[in-house]
Amino acid sequence: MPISRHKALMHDVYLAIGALFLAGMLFYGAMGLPTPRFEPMGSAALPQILGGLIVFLALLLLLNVWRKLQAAGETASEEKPSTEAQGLAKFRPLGVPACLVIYVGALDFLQAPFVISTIALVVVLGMLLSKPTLRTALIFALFGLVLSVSINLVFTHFLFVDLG
Amino acid sequence: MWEAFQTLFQVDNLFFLFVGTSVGIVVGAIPGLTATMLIALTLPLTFHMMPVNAVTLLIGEYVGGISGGLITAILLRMPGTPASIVTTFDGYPLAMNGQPQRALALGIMASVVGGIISWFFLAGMSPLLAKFALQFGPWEYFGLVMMALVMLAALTQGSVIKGLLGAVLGMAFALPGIDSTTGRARLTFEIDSLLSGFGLLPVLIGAFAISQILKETAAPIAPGPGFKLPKGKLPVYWSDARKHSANMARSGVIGTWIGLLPGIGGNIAALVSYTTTRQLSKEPEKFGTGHEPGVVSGETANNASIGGALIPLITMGIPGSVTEAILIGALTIHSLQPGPLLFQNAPEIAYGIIAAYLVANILMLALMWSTVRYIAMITQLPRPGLLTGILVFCVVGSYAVNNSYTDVWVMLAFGAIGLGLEKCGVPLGPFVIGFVLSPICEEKLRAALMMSDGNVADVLTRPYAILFLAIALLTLCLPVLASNKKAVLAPPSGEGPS
Repeated sequence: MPISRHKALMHDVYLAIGALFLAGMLFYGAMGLPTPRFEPMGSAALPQILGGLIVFLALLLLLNVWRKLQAAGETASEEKPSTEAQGLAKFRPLGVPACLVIYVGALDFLQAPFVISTIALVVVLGMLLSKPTLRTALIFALFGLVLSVSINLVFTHFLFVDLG
Repeated sequence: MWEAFQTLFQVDNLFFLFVGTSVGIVVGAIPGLTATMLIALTLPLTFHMMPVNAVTLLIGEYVGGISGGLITAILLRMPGTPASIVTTFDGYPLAMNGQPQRALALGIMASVVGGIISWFFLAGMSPLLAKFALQFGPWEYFGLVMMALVMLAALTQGSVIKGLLGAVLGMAFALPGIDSTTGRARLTFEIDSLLSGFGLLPVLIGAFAISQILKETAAPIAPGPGFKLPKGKLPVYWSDARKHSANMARSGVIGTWIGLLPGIGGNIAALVSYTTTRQLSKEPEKFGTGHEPGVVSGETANNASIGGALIPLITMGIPGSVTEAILIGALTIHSLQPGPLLFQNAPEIAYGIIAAYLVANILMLALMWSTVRYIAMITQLPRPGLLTGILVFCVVGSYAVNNSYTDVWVMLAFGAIGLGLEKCGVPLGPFVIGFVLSPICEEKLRAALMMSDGNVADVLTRPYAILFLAIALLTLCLPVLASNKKAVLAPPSGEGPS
């Protein structure tokens, strides 16, 4: 079986495990809910129904994976590795979400000023997404400044939302 | 209806419609950015607007977003929106044959005609359908919601199991919060911020915008291929009306009716219409080589599907696609409940949507006709700057709804969930629509059971409810039956192609 196909099947397994975990949370949460007194259904019914459906669909998914693995045999054939990203680009898949989490964390927990934090985010993301040069940093700093100041202006003065 | 047009022609409404249509066209023209993402991002801004202004802005964005996709589909063979995929089949070859202006002119004309045809259905059918829907009780609504959810999950591309799983997971994420019937906390796990549940806006922005941007940034970002549109008028002649009128009328009707069905969308409407036109053509071999009727049929149908999709939205409050689900969100944040009562409780909104749809199509014609050359240049904006700017807008937009960073964290979490689901092949459409429809589904089912003293068999006395549930069941069973039939008819393994 080609590696990419094997990977897709593994994704199905992860999906089923995640879904089963969520179903478990639904059942656990529904256990603490009161039994219905004035209506036939009660607030626990839908979580239980959805939990049951999720378990059923996750098991179907796992069954499909098992059937496909059985049909294909468990040997994995070699496949050409994809060309790897160079330089900062290889950090993108994790770098962009990490930057975003740090940015929101700084705004929320450290109450960092919106304009400065946004300029910093734009510069770092700009370097990650294009070439990491001084010129790029300057261009993105300018872009970040214009973007953050204009957003701050519109939200503070017209929509009365204080961005900090 | 006349009053709705009068309201629409007030300066502020026209301004918002103009802005919405213009921004929609530009965003629609940029491959990777969709009308859905734009509407989700604009939603927090509409929170501070008058309901009519908000609706006109969003309808403008919807019409512009779907129409703008034709520019890059024709010039670069990169459909700006999924609805324009079919336009690449003949639009791009026509442009390559030295007639880019002709391809654009036909595409723009066809889009407008498609929009106008579906507007007649929207304006003619909606009030009647809304009156009819007033007879519906909780069982009918429950059946309708189930039908919409199952159709959407089963008809999306890929595995039916994953489509259904997406819908059920979306419904599950809508459960936490205060239970509206008992007034008690449900599935909050003692976390105070979960008492109000997950907000619709952070979920929508996270699932659509954040996940899409994270996906785009993870892939190599190549500079977009350039295309300079030669100077000159967009050539369209009176003879085109005669030449393409039957095709436009047929494609407009097909697009509208496919748009009416939940979960199918503009791309399928365009594909069905294109296939039909090709089958009926005397020169089917010319399709795919830059044949004008190919451009006309696809573009007429994808724009007509918008009008079709708006019909169940305003008459029954049932979204046909994610974009309509977001429009429902826009109405609910203004305390408006889409459905048959919208025509009675807020006629300015119900008729306003219908009027705005027509005017947005006409505005789109004027805007695209006069600025198509510049829009084609805007699509060459550097991606890193564009994606970074959108990320900042996502954060600010989510925060601005409640002035709360909890919503921003929710948005990020749903961005990660959306990305994970897409990676596992689960379509996001059913997930988001499941999230939107879950409270309606539960409310109607509980009301129906209360009215019938817990007797589920009561549904058997409601013919429309049975019809909707039967359609849902049939939609679910058909693919299984079809695959079983295929397996029976297929040659035994070893004899057929591997």
